[in-house]
Amino acid sequence: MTHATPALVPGWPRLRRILFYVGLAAILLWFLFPLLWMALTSIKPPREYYASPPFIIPAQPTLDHYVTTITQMSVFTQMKHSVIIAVASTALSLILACFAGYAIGRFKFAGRVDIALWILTLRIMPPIAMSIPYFLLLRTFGLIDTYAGLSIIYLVFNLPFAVWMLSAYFQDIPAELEESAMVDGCSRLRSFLIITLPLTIPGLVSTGLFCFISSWNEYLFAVIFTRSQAVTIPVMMSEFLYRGVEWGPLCATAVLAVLPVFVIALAIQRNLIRMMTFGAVKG
Amino acid sequence: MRSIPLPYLLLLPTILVIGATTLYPFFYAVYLSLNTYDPTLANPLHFIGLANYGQLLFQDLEFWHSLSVTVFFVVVAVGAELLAGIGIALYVNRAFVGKRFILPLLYLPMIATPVVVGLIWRMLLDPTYGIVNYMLGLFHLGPFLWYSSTQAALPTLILVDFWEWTPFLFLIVYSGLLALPEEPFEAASIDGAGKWAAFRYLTLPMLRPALLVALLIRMMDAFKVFDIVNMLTEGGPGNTTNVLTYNIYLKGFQDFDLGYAAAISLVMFVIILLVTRVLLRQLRWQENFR
Repeated sequence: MTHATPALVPGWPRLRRILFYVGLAAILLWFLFPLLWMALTSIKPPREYYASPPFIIPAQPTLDHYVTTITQMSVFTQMKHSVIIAVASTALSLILACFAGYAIGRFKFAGRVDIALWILTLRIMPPIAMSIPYFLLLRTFGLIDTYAGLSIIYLVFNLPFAVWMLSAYFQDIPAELEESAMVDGCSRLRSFLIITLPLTIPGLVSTGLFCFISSWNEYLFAVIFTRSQAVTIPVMMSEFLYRGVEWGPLCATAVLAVLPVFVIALAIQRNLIRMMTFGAVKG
Repeated sequence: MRSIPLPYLLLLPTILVIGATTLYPFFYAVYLSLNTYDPTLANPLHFIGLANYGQLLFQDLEFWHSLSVTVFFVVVAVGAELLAGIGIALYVNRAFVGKRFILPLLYLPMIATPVVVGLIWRMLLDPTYGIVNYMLGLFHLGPFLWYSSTQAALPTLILVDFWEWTPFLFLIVYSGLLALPEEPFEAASIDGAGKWAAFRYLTLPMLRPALLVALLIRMMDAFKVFDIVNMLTEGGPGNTTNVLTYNIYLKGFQDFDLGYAAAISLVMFVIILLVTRVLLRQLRWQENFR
């Protein structure tokens, strides 16, 4: 153990150790209780979540709210919209970013760093500023409330992100590997496809999954540019709130909405920090 | 085609897509901001030069109110998140039982769909049935109107943002701590430096780059806050939580005053740009590229 990570050594006074765990429990409670409460409410009958004193643990757990949200509120339809839009936008971003990221990560050329930084700074633009011209443009092309419209718009944050991440991943693959394949007679394209690309797959997967999460969670563009045919999960939930849908079905929907992103986030947790900081913190 | 060097050729599709999805809309927004927009007319745009900007900067009290609400939100929320993030990172930076399973759980709030975050807190803070008011009631406090009273609405939004994004700061600081070299700390302790001195003169300076990144990203995002505002307060009560993005959203998509909304959004963009430039220059991000 280094100085920077002092061990909770057996020599520690017992009281101090107990106090440490109490503090840790308090931190966990603060960050997890709200999520836990959502999950618990989703399986409580209404008389339990509208009771005082409230039931912490459901006395008569029920899956009724899940049945309601699936059968009456067609949550899977909105989930399908969310999946289609997120997958389309992610796939487009990854394909384009493979080329661009490879160019920036592999070649030295005039303007390389400038182009890379410029692509990154596009993210500074506030989404609301883009939403106004987007609205008029989408209307002109008849793309309001369509999968295509929202998928294209999500490129505005997914593409710069993917280019930036992938160029770092490509840069980490030694050029010598490709060069030796090229000496052996491979074309550049072939050596890219059989050597570099397979080595970059973990990076591609993490980047893609993170694009998926960003698209899945996005709300501002979705609420402005969808009406009924392409309504995504977050928009559906905000509409529930306005329509005064009860807590039970609301929480059941919310659980279904966050479950995919939690699973993905835990799967890529080692790369999460790299993703969330545009590679600035490697983690 | 061979006349274009390969790297530029590879970049071309991306540049074209960025041009179509970002540059063109940006200049379109600039053009819009020089017009009034009246959706009832066959030709809704009417050129008025810089009049929108004149009105915005010199007459529109709502804009200035909105800006000050946003700045307050950003400074308090991000400041609190930074301190708590550092505190928690230092706290858990030791061996303890179940660490491998516990720490990833702390990331969940920042990954959760922001709309869901707003929803959960709306439920927790519900004036009548919310668990928070019930708990406080046990101590004869409240009931408080967390998101529906003029005094509490903005602090409540800050609280929710704090819950959602402290994990981000924590994650960055924590991985910064893990990457610290051992030698300087050993040398310092041999020289008799105390814990505080080691933190102040070793840990903090070495974490500086990571902290700057965290601040940059978080400030940018907090400045654009929308989702939790829409879910909890809708800019109200009155205009107490009418942050910039919400203000523009109302002007643009409820009043359909698109020209004016575009003008506000461009002013907002310039403000973010100025703030981030200062931080970006400190960062020297281009060092990512050898």
